[in-house]
Amino acid sequence: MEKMMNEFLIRKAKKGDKDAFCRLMDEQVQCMYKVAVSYLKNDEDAADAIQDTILSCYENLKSLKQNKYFKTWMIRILINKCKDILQRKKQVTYTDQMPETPFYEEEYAAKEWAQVLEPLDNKYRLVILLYYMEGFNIREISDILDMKESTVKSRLQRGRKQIAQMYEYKVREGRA
Amino acid sequence: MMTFNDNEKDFQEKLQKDTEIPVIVHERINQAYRYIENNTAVQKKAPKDPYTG
Repeated sequence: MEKMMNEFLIRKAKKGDKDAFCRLMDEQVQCMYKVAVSYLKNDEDAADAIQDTILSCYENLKSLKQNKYFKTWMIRILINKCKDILQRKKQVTYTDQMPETPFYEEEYAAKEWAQVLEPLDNKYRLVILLYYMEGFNIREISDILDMKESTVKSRLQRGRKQIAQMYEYKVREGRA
Repeated sequence: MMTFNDNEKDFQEKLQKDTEIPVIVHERINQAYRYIENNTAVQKKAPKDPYTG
């Protein structure tokens, strides 16, 4: 049902219907926010990345050949925007001699979904998020992250092992 | 597609649960919609200065 609605909105948006485009993007806010904030670790940068993504999707929607790939395409744009923001921050960090450690906002760390994601190694986190949250398959994740399918597969397997260890630890600590 | 065990199902449920979207995110989204509405989306996307954003 959601896919049919999205397909309908994409077709209208491609014909220039701005309301349809905004409704389409409204449907993606939860997903965009979780991906952006888990990448950037703070709400302000995530908000910037999401805004840039919306504008970029609006400008380039007509170039999307197959509507069924809309979400993969949009998340790929979002991740590139996140990378741009990190890159800009690195330039500022270098000049200002600030520590390179990523800044974690307390609000982000307090969210339940972030708490289950954060114990995972950095390199597995995004793959795991896309796989479990959005149900993307290995090929789609490989497209989004511009990564070999074999790399996605191995990160997914290692991430799954870490999830298992996390739950074992919870049981041992009586937190399950 | 792999089969999920109980832990993974619990993990997935937590990840998929809707989260509260911060006010700043809503503000930026609405701002983007206004740029689109007013046909100023392209102008907004001028390259950012790393110091001033």
